[in-house]
Amino acid sequence: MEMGSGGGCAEESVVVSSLVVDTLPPQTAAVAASLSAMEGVEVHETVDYKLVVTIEADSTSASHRIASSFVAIPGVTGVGLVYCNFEDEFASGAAGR
Amino acid sequence: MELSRRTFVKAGAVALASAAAGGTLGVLPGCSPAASSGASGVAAGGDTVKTVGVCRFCGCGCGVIVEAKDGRLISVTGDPDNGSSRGLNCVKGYYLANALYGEDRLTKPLIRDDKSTKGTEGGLREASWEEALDLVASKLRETWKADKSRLAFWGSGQQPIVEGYATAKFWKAGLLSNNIDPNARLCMASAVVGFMNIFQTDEPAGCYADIDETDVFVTWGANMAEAHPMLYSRLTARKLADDKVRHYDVTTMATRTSASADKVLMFRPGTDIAIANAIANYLIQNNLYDKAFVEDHIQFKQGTENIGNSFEDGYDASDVGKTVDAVENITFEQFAERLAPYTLEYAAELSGVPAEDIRELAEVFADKSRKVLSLWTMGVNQHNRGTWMNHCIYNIHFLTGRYALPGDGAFSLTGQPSACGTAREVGTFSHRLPADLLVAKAPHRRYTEAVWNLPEGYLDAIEKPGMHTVKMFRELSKGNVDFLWSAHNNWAVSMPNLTRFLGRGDEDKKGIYDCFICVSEVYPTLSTQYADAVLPAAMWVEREGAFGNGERRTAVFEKAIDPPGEAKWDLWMLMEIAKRVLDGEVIGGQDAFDTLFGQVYDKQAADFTGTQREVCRALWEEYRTFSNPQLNPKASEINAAEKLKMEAKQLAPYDLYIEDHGLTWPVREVDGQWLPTLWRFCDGPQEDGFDQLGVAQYGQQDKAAGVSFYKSADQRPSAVFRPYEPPAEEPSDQYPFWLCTGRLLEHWHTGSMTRRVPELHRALPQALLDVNPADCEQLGVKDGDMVRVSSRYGSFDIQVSTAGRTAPPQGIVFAPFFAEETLVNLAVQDVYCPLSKEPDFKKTCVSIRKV
Ligand code: SF4
Repeated sequence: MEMGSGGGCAEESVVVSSLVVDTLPPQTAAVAASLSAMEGVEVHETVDYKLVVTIEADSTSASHRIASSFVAIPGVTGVGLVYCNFEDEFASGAAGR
Repeated sequence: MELSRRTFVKAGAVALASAAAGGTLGVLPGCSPAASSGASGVAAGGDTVKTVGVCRFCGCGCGVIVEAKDGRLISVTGDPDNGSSRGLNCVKGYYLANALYGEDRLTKPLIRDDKSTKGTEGGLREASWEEALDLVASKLRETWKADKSRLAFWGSGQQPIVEGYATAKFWKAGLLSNNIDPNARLCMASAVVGFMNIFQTDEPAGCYADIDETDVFVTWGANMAEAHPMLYSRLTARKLADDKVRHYDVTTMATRTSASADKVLMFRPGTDIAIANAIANYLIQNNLYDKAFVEDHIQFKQGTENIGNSFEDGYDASDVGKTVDAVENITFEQFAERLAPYTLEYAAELSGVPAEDIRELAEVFADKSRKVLSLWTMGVNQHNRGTWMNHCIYNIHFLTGRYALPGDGAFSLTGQPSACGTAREVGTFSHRLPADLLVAKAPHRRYTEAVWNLPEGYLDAIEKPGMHTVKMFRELSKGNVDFLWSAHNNWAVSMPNLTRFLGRGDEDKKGIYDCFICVSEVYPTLSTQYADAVLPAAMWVEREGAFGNGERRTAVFEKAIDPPGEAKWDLWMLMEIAKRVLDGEVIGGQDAFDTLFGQVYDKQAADFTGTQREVCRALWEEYRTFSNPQLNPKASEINAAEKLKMEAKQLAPYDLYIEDHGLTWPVREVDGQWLPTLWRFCDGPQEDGFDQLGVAQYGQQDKAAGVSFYKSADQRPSAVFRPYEPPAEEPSDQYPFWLCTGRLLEHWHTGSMTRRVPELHRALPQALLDVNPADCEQLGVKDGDMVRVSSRYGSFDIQVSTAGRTAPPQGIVFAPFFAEETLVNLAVQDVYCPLSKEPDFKKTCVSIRKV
């Protein structure tokens, strides 16, 4: 089976996404600290046990890899994707052959 | 991306996530994701377009706002106005765009000239649409004229609603054939037959909001953490909000779902029925059942027992096979007597679950100070007694008065985005017509004739149900099917017993080669390798469509971009083929094609009579007549005379589904407003989501718990006693292990969309066989070794893992079914539940040896 990432990437390609990360209440602050320490990840707000997080990475694939790694952080109970902007990634090129 | 633009996009991203989390940063002007039909967006300048959508992947049916610019998708946002998901998606949402942009999208029709190349990567050549359509239509027409028992359509719970509706209409009214069935037969059929037997209506009473309101979750044979990620987040959120909330997981192996449960009841495969019966028995013996609820609402039955298993092709027509649906009324006392042998000890002995744990779960159900929600998926449905196990769960909920109440319910989750909306609701099963109607019932055929404007009696030709899915492929492999059209599925990976169905066994080698197979697809799959013609399809938001999810929510996804190359809307393919096949045919003296589809398709022009929106709206409005009989005087008359209660599943006008970002049916018109229903059969204000109008019209308002099951015979759902009968096959010296198959988080079904995504593919590149370390030791294999798994059906090679996603107990192994190179279904049994005809993918007996 062939694999492909679709259209070509512009040089300064960046994918911006935002998520809500659910945490176990006693560990909310610790999770926020762990997330903030990750490259391209920022925590913007804590709402009870929910964290408002953005990821900036160079592709949706990389963003997915980062977001998927959150569940392995102790205290993370859920990761919900809210928004993903990939305007650089698929802006050109055509699907199919 | 320029820095200023990046800052702007990021600020918008934060605002959206903050709003979804209930925070305070969500008020940035100009960053609302709100989209309505083609509204122009702001995030990437004035030339972008935002449209309302719904996720392409799983049965949760999360809402998505799709943004496009210059014909390409540029962003997706969880739709805050979609009531099923409220602004959140799972991480698969990252791949909604990638799934469209795989390099090997099919963009031209393909034809196979040499049938001997089937099953190889070669053999298909490019063709024009004209040539491909002429070929497919001529083969269908030829078969139809010669012997219409030898043609078949295999559809899907991923087929959008109006296309499913049009396909069912073409097959049932145009071809007068019931040989049409969806892949939902493989996942939902046991739940469907359960619903019909128990309630005489195919629908869950509850909704996703039950998850937010319950106090105790009981998951039965369900790995929600992997297969229903958004609903599982909602479950964990409920647990976090209240530390008294509990979760019991009833399962055959440890999964990600059991990892977060408070208590796991791990049972020997197939013995869940004994556990459920023991709980019911305990409740009755200890006088812990809800007498008022039982008295007011429930009737009791028992049915045919010792029904054996469907090993043989002739099972359905055998003496026992013919009687499996029979039931008789019994008294409550007789029902209790039938349950009496199911003591805690007996269930413990059969299942391996400690009696004390079963008692604890029974006490949970008995405690009326707390609400209990049962959730289940494939472990219950893909079961040689799947329909029976559905019965057994409802029996417990009926005895404890926990059904159709907020937070108190029994909910069968769907796996595909439109398993309900299309496969079930529009009638693409071999025994159904739209809106729950059955081909076997004369008044149902009369009603359908009225809506479809057919001569009275015209549909009597389809009184007899057609081939269900397993029968379809068994007959195909024997050479008894000459034409198959499959769409929105990947049967060559997802069907069980592929050794037989792909002609790779010792017998039945010719059928697959002789049959003319047409596959509508978006990517090359194993199914296209067996196709004689491949029709390239537009995918997801490359066309307009609608899905109906597990909580009765219908949601439209608008067209956002054009399909690549020559890929076409499936509905256009259907029209072009129907036009050719029905050429010169008449219905009631009128041109057959125009009678069926003239309102949306101009056959001379080879095009639709309007835009996609207009076409979808027109077909929807016709379909909606089934649940709005007042729109058709003749239908209205039949509805009243035959007491069909068709308005009980009322659907709203098409455009409202876009404006309101999805609505749960029945949708009721009150003072010009269309109001959805969340809690079916539960009396209360319609504007709060209760079924006020339904209960007022058909039900009774003074019954126990304020519910009224007005669609059931005598307004009483049936508690049917079902005994424990063993699995089709038990482990033996020759085949000492159970093989269980299923889905994992990264890949959706057979991976034909998600495996285009490099990252998902890397996260889970191959299917692994999860084996208990003690079994590994006994087999002399270790993590990473290749083994051959063999059953009496066939075999496959796979790599062993002792640190996989699931942790099976000794004696059970697990493998996902997404990988075509592993093709676990070569060894999986095609034995099905005798009532629902849904195969048991969870309990094939296998041997394992190192290769
Ligand atoms: S949970 Fe299912 S429907 Fe929702 S975003 Fe994920 S894959 Fe799509």
